[in-house]
Amino acid sequence: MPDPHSAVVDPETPIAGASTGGTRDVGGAYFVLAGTLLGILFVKAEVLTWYRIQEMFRFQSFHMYGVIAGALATAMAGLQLIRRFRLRSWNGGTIVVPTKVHTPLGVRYWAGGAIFGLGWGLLGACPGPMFALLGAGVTAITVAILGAMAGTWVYALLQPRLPH
Amino acid sequence: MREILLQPWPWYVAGPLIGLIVPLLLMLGGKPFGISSNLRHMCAATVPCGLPFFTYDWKRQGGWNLLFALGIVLGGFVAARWMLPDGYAAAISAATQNDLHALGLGDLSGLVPAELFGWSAPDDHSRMDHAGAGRLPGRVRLALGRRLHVRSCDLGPRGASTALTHRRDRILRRWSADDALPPAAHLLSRHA
Repeated sequence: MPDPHSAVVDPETPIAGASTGGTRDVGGAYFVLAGTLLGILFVKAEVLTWYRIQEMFRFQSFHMYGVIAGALATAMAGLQLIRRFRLRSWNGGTIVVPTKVHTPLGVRYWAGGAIFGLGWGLLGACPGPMFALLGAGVTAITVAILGAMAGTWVYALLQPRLPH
Repeated sequence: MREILLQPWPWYVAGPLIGLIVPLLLMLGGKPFGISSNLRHMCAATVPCGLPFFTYDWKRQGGWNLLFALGIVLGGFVAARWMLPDGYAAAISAATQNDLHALGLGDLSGLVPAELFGWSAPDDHSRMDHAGAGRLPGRVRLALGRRLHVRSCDLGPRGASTALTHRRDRILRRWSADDALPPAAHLLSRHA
């Protein structure tokens, strides 16, 4: 059933998880809980410490690479299980794993990734840990969050002229 | 048991658990894992300014993602408050510790260095007096500006004020010589 509200104005950059095709909405509390779990894991994995990011970008420890590789492994395994057994989500919707947009040069991936990496190295945090740090009491991180929003806004402004 | 709860976990435990969030979100409601999209939703909610990138129903399409981010904030709060040992410092390698000390960071404890992630201006005297007398012996931060400076200046608590003035003058001279914009000049001259 087409949903008039989920019409994505910008087909180049679809909104993640915009439509699920589910028969009913999943309670928002579940997403809060999933986020809480992830926030705790960020702390336990030391992913949100500025020090581990410094260490990673100096190639001085395996820790962060191990965390990332470990996370990739279970995430891929989970995706494969969902695909193979055609699992349905709790609200009865079919699970569609969004496909990546491919362009000849793939500028969006290498250029976007490089810019992301610059920010990651400068700040010592990526978007997820940024929010976890806010909860952990590092209130100065709001400056970084506002900065990231400003960057997003500038992207929106320049989007028609940027290569993808 | 209490030890397991309080200590950070090794990468081969914490990493795979983080990865499980991806299938969990898909099973919950077909949601693909992502956090950066919240920046888009937050802009769409506050400063869309008619830009096509922000023209969509952010509540309906991004609501779940914003709740997910709210959960991450809560998780950070819970874990930082109750799931870390007192005086926690990440067990980073000796090489990294040396590098960071060489950059002028004195205190490598906590989730982030207090010398970099604070609200006080880099040359805030009250903080300096605090620092000189306390756990950050004689360090000067100058974290704002065109370049990020973190340097040790070996200041005592009493010498801080004059040494800072000299440093400020030196920096302002150098910037005007470079014909570049002075780095956050208003911050530097606040205590003049």
